Amino acid sequence: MPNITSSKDQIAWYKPFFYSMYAQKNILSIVSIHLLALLYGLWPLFNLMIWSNFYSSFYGNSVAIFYAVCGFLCLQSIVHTFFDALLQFTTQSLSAQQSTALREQIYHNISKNPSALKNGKDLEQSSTDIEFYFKNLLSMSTNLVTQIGNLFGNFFNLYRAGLFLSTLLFFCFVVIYDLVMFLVYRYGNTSIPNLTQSVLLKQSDLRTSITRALSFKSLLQYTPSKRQWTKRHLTKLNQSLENITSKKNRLSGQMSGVQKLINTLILPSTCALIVYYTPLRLPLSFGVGFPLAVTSIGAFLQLMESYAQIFRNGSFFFKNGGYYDSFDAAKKNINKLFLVCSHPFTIQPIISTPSPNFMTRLLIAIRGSLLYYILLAVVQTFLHIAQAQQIPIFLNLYLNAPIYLNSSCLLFSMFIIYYLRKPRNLRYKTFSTDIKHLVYNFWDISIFSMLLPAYLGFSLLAYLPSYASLLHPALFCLSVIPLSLITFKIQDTLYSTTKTPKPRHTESPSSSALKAIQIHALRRKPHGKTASIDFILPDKLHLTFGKSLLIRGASGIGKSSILIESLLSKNTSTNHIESQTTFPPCTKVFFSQAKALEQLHLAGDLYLTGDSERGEKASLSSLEQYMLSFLTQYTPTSPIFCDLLSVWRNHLQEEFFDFLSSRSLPDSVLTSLKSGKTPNPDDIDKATKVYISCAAIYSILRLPSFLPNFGNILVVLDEGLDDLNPHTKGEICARFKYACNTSSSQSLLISVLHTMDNSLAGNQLSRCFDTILDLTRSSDQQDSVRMQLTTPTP
Amino acid sequence: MAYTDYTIYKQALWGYYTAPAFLSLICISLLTGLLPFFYTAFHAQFYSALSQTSISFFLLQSVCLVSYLILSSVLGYIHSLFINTLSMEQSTKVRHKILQDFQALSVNKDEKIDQRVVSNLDNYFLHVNKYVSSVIRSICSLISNLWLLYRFTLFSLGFQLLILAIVYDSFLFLITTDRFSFGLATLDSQVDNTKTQVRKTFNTLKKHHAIFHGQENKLDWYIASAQKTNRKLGLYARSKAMCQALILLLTKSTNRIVHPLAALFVIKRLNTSFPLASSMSVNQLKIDAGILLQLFQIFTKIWEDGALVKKNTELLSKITSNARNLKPLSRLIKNRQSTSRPYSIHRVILSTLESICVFSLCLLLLALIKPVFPMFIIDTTPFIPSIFRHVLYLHSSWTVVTFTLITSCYLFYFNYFRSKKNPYQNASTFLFPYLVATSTLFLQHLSGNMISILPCCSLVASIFLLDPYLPPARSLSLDKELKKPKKLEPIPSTMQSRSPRTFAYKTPSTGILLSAEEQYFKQCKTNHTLESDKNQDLLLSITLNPNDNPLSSLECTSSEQTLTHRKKTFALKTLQTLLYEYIIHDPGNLTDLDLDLLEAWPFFHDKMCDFLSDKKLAFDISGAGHLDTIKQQKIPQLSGGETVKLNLAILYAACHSPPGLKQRPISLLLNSCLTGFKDPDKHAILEKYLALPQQNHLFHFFYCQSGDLPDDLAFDKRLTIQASPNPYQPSTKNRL
Repeated sequence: MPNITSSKDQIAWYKPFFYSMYAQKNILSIVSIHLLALLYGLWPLFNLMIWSNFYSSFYGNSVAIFYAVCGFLCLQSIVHTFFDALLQFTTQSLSAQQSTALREQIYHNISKNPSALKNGKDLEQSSTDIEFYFKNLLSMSTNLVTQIGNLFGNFFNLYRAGLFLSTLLFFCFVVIYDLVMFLVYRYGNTSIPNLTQSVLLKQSDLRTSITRALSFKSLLQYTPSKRQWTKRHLTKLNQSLENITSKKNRLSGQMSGVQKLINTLILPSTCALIVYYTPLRLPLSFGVGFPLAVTSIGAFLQLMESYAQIFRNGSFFFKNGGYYDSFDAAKKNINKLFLVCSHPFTIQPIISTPSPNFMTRLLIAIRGSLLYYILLAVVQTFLHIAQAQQIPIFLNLYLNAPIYLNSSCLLFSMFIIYYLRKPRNLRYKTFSTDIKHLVYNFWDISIFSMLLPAYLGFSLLAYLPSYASLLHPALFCLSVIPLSLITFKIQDTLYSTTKTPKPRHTESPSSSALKAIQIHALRRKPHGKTASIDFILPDKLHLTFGKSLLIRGASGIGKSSILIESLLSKNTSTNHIESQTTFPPCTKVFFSQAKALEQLHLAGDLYLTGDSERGEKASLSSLEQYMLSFLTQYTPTSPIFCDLLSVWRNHLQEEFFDFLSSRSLPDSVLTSLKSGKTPNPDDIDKATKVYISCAAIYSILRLPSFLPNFGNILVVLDEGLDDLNPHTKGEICARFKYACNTSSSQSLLISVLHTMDNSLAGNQLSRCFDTILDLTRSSDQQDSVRMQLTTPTP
Repeated sequence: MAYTDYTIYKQALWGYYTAPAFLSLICISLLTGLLPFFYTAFHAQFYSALSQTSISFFLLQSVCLVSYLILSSVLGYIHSLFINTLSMEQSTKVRHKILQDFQALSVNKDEKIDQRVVSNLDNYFLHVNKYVSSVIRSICSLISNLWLLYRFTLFSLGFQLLILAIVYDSFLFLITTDRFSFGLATLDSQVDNTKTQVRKTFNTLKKHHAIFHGQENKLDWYIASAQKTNRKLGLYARSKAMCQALILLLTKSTNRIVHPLAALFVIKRLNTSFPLASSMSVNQLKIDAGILLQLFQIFTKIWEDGALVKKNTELLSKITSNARNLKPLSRLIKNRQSTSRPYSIHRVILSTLESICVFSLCLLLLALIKPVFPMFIIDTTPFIPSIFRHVLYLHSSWTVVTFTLITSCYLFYFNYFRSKKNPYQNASTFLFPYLVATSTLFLQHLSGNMISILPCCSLVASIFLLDPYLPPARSLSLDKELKKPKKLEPIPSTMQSRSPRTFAYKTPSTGILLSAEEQYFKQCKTNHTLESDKNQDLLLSITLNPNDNPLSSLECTSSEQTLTHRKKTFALKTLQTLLYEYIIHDPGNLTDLDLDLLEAWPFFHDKMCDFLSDKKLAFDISGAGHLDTIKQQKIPQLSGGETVKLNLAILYAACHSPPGLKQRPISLLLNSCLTGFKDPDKHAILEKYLALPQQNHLFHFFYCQSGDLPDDLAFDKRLTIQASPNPYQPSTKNRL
């Protein structure tokens, strides 16, 4: 796998994996999967032996033995497939776990700085690619381990037959062939990955072009020249898509054709070569004079199969090329997501797999060991039958160890594992949930406890027949227990670093001695071709709570981009703005220019409804969620959350509907709101959405009158009332002013109403706002803006 | 099984003339389906030779097996390539038709139209072709395998296994459907839906980052909700993985145990005694260890091919879902194209030569194989039916070699150089004559008169092969409409007189009267079309869509366009493309006037800069140097208002005629495009446009807005359009 080093803008290829591993603490799972992959790779050695028995008995003397071998072959096939399925399940399960963990970390980082997302591109795709990243990385690593295991097994088989040198030569050929194929088909402009990428890009280009053309259909319908250009462009794209796809199909067809062809050719051609180059005589007679160290026709045929498997599994570059390409593409896309998240990317350990209760822990402990024990018992039974019938089956030394010894040491390990998992604060409701969590979250321990004895047995005891029965349990106890202890120790260390996220700090109202926002200095820094702008402030620019303020100024003067931005940013200075502001602690609610008043869907069904993860029943209606989400974090158990809920239910709700009653809303909308549901945004018009949002603003501004200890509230309304007629706008602003004035100097509304500032007469202006902040370009200094605070007179 | 609509496929077959290629696909699927005959024969010979005495015989068998494997791989490669090429050809042709009829496409209000036209269409054709091929291959393979078993009196055993395979396969299929909550399809859709939700959260976070920036609590709630969905996705993904693993276990393990089980039953059924005798016979057929082993293999093949339900139902469900998605498109491609092709003598000659060439190649191949191929295999092995043997006994002559060489060169020239861009597009061109030639060989065997059949075969192939090199459909429905306008609606008197050329409309609501405006403009347009040369006519209607303003975007068809005319290339920058998209009618076919317009770029650019540098317009108020960048013919990063102003400048420039060129009739309708501007800005813009008729006496300007029209602007006519019950009959009254 190529080593992609991290550059300044690019995250290293392994980092997402480690981030997720740290957050999820699944080292044991990763180890288990690779142990399983190695076993799956080694299994064909056993498979070869059984098949050699099959052929030998087929050419043998006894039909009964043939039947017995057929039965044993069936059993072995099922076990082989079981490992295959288990490996697939565990790999996918782990990749799902890891991608979930990484996504959680990304959400966590986004929550710190949401505005960083504005520079992000293709974030949707990146979120999906997280899954591909883990899936392909794990597939690639397990595949490599499987291939190594398989090569080892086949080399061993051929070495025993005295063909080690020729195998080594053959392996060299395979490596060269693999490299050549890899270079021919995977490098250069016309390589398959590049072509696949081009096809996807072309498809996406065509789709985007069609959508774009259709979005301007009224323009294109009556502008023939523009329509003609569009058609020409689409036709060209369509043709080039066909060309590239055909090219890709041809190349990938060629590649797979060659690969398939050689795969099928290996068996007969190696057979012919062995027969030709070794002094063999037909018909084959296996005995003292036979040039190869094989004793039966079955073992002889399995030599060819070994060569075929070496060819298939010796292809490291080519076979894993597909995984690598997908992984690489996914990694690049994930990078986009990482780039927009705040730097440095912070990782917070999460406990997504809480520890189980008594019954579940017992089941976990039993499962892996039991599985191994069952397998062992079945195999041993078969072997006993085979021995009774004098069937020559090899590798039975380990399997013949006394059952009671194996079972006793497995029981012992079972209890060790049981006690290692300490109970944590967890309550599962039902037994089926127990089982689900058992299967999904604790498969690693089972596999780990199953695989270790298998490895020990295979690797060590096969050559020590006389001591097998004694050594096996001893080695088992010596290895399983310390290894389990070490892994659990590592996991517990990681768990102990877990810190529960602290709730956002909210200051108590007593600390807020200030009752106004004081702006001392404001300046836009120069960047690129943009010149700096100095704001000339009056002596005292105090935006007092309990008032409603209107900001006026020509377009592009810096109302939203500088003044409001400086009020909202946490830091006094950002990349573009330099400000000195004294801020009393307050809850900020900002309705931006981005049609924020129309975004009703940012509440309601998307929020937490029904059963939450922690088991408590969330009993908030979607309207309640919509309202509370303006004012507090999602902490259903905190006192402030409960206070807000009670104030909403007892007072604010009334204010909310009182506001709406003055607007003529459709009955269906009102009914739905009264039943606690936010209406479906697709079913209502823009004005209705704006009215509902205004009602929410009004309720928020009114909150301090009912809950004085909540603290100050700053609501910023940047445009958004454009679609309403001036009269309605005036009425709404007057209600807002009333709400601010009656909030015991705790609510402040700052508005920018573009089309309203010059349409309102002085009389109306004084009815709607307490103060007006005028921004005018200074006549004497070109690059400065003068700010002036006035009170409208009726 | 769900009903699937094959209308589009039929359209592609007959409307776009891909039927010959489809027939070829059927032929090649039949051929690959019948391969098991040979497969088992060669393998049986190979294993039998291993237990015999002669090493040279064994080596010969190995060579035969290797040759067969190479041939079958090549055939497999052609087969897969053919399916892909045919599918792509069909979808491209259909897509071409859809994209050409832009007006019909634009009537469609479907949001997923891009997905339907691109990916659904591609997948639909690919899956239909795969489905057809897979069914044919499976059936052929099953029949041939059962027939072999029948010859060894094992038919009943094979048939029982087939029934078992179908039952077991149906059971597996039920697990994969969405009928049960634990079914794979159910879990799959759960995962997909949750994945979409997770994708959407990122989209929402990005889209509303400005809102979340100021509403931290809302963000916190949203993130909490997103994390819940994320965890749900993890859980569903693991459930799906478990179900998949279970299905894998059930499928693969049975596939693996069929072979030993079949061995067990066959040995029992044939009452074979061990050690195997060197000469056994069943049903008068010689049998040995190699043949027995191949018989076991046949059972595995029956088991695999018997999985007809699952394998093909998967494809069928994909076809159904794609066809369902394509349903809204079927109306667009209903206008079936004429099946008659431009019949050129050149094509006939080429096709005839092609078929002769391929036919000759077949003969040559047989001539080469014959001395090498061990005929005794064919004679002795019980696996090969007699009809195949006859193919290999054909005579050939070296004269075909000459034919082959000449026609090959000819073909290479035409198929490679003529369609250089895509030499693999016409796979059917080669394949169909090949198949026709192969079938001719069979016919020849039956009739014994090759010479008489050869011209017939060539002719048939020629007629079928006239489909490639289809000229792209140039005629467009809308253009046809323009050429032959229907009976004209009565045009208001104001339109017929030339004197008033600037009109202002007050409309109560943009939405209701949009269509009325359009019809009014259409009348004006038709009027122009009748009066003037179409190519010199410039009709621009810029209408504010309720959702987005076309002027608020600076997107053009392609940022760096290149136009060619008589080997002369014009590379256009984005700013140039934006302008010429309005004034050059057909970029694929440049006229002299277009060339003059391209030469006059400095003039248009000056006009644009003039428009933007007007102080009243207040372009680039923040002093970021945007105007300077535009003067350098580049497009800077502009704000929303500035983008609209730049677009208006481009339109303003487009409405001018360069000095020395004939003035062209130009009509411009700006419908509610200036709503976002303040009155002074609006005034400055409209004053510019109102001055245009002085420079071009054929310029007509229509301006509509919902509010009161500014009184101090010198429009020639002012009209108020009132909402009428039928928007197609606007009641217009002259206000002044």
